[in-house]
Amino acid sequence: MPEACVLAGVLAVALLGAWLKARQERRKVAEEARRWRRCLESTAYEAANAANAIRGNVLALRHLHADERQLAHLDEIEQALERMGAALEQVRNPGAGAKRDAALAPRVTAPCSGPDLTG
Amino acid sequence: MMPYPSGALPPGTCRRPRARKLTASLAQPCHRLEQILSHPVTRKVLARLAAPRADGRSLFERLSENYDNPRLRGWERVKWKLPSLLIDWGLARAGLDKRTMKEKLFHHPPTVRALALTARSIAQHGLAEPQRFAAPLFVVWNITQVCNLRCRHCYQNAGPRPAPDELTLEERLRVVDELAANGVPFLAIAGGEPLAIRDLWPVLERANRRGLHLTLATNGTLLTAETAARLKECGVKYVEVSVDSADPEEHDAFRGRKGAWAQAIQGIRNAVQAGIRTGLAACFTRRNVHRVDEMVELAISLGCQTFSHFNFIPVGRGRQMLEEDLTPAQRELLLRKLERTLQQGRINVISTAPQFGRACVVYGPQEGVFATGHAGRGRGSKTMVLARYIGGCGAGRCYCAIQPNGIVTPCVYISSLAVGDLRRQSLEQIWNCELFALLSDRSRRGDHCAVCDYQSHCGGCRARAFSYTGDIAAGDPGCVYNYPLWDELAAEAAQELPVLQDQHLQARQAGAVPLPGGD
Repeated sequence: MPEACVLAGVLAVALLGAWLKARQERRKVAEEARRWRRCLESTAYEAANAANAIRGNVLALRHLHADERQLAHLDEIEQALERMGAALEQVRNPGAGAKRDAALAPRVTAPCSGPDLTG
Repeated sequence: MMPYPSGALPPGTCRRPRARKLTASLAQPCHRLEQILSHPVTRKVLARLAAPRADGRSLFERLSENYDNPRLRGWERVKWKLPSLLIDWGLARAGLDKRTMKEKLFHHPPTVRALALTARSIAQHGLAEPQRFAAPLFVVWNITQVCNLRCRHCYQNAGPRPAPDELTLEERLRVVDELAANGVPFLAIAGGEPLAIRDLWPVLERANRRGLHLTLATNGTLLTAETAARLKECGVKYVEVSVDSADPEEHDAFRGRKGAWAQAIQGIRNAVQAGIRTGLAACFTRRNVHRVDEMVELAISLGCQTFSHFNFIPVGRGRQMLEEDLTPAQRELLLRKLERTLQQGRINVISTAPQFGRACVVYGPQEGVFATGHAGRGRGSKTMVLARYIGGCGAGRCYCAIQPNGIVTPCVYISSLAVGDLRRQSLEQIWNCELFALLSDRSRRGDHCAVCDYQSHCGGCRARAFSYTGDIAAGDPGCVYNYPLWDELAAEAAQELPVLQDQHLQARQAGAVPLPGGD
């Protein structure tokens, strides 16, 4: 009988230890996830504002007598901004992954509209 | 004036379609208070706290007045002890300094009134982005049409004679009472030139007695040392003097009188010396936009606490200098410059351009300084959350204008659109009109303003939209994200106004483009 009690005690302590360890691990993971989430949100916030600042200034540049060659580059910047916008939408709404992929796919493979540099 | 039946919208409103969204979606920071304030139980509690009692004051106002009040005696002292202790506990938990909060909040009537109005607004309309207010938070009163100058850009078309139907002194005092009775916390007196009329003083005295926070916009030419001291006595907390150039000749030419610059500068010095918070207000057009840095330096050197940018709107006499309006690109660079000045912290910067709030978010760091409205600012993401609720264009939402004859308009720059008459209607009747409901709902906009990710911070200038398109809900053609609209208007202007088209072509040949459509 005393052996059974000791065994039960040891088992209980071992279980408690395992549970405490698992809880600590869970908390660590949750904390880590929170930190990543904060970091991601902060990065997304800065990136969205930077993208919108670029977009605004590209629109302004288009009206400053940009010539044909410059316009081609502005088109490229705007296409890149569209891609950034789609990626940022993914951060805001992680469930919209498929939509984002669909939005990104044609742009990645779209032919370059800039000057022909091959020849 | 363009009156229209009560409950209806002006003709031509809401005809512009939504544009394709150009901005990348923004992950907005949130605050726990938002969840608390949007809870239905909180709304009920706020409704009780903010409801006016028999004496016209709300429980919230009485609570603030009696919080830690050493003048209370006997039963009154006992009655307010527990609420005071609860507030103390709340402040300690929030880590806020009791003395500062007492001075700047609980025992500062305009702030208490503003908070009571905010509570009433949340109870009435719910927590909304942007917040619609139950009464104006801020009123600009063009108290007279009389002015001793003849500025080229005057939105009021002011001159040496008063308007034939201007309010009498008795009516003006009634307007003050009406504002106070509706819980309006902030009143700005403008004109014309408010210092040019004798009625100003009794109006200021009454408004001060009724607990309104008073500010005054003046051209500064009549702001002598004695006048400044009297303004201080009458409770004026902030004086804004218009100066449009660091170059006296340029300013005098713009303002229509020689020596106006020197008098305005002396006026600023007098106000600073009298110990009133003073601001230098500048209106930028294509003629003087390159002088923005000089102007900021001038304001700092004169001891001004605020640099105020007035967004030029081509209305009134300003209609005749339409071609001097900034292009969206020029305005964007100007706002970027002002945002940088605000971040430097040498002087407070405010702007009547609603895009300034957006510029602070787009260009500023996440923990930087943000403009929260036409006159507010603060640091960090908490301020940014606040800016979503009170930021951007306030016309018909948290602000309205009163004309010299008592007519209420959504904004000083929209003086042609009468929504009510204080001679015949109460402010409450006027405030709850369909047009103001439309202006408070930023999703009911046209062009890019309808889809913009910075809608909560900006909303676009309604006066500019109305002035250029005749549609108060159209996109703001002064914003870079609305360039297609600007192009459309430029094309129309070029067709309809051949004179302007010629100027445009001449300027293009000369290397500068001073008309809508380019820089």
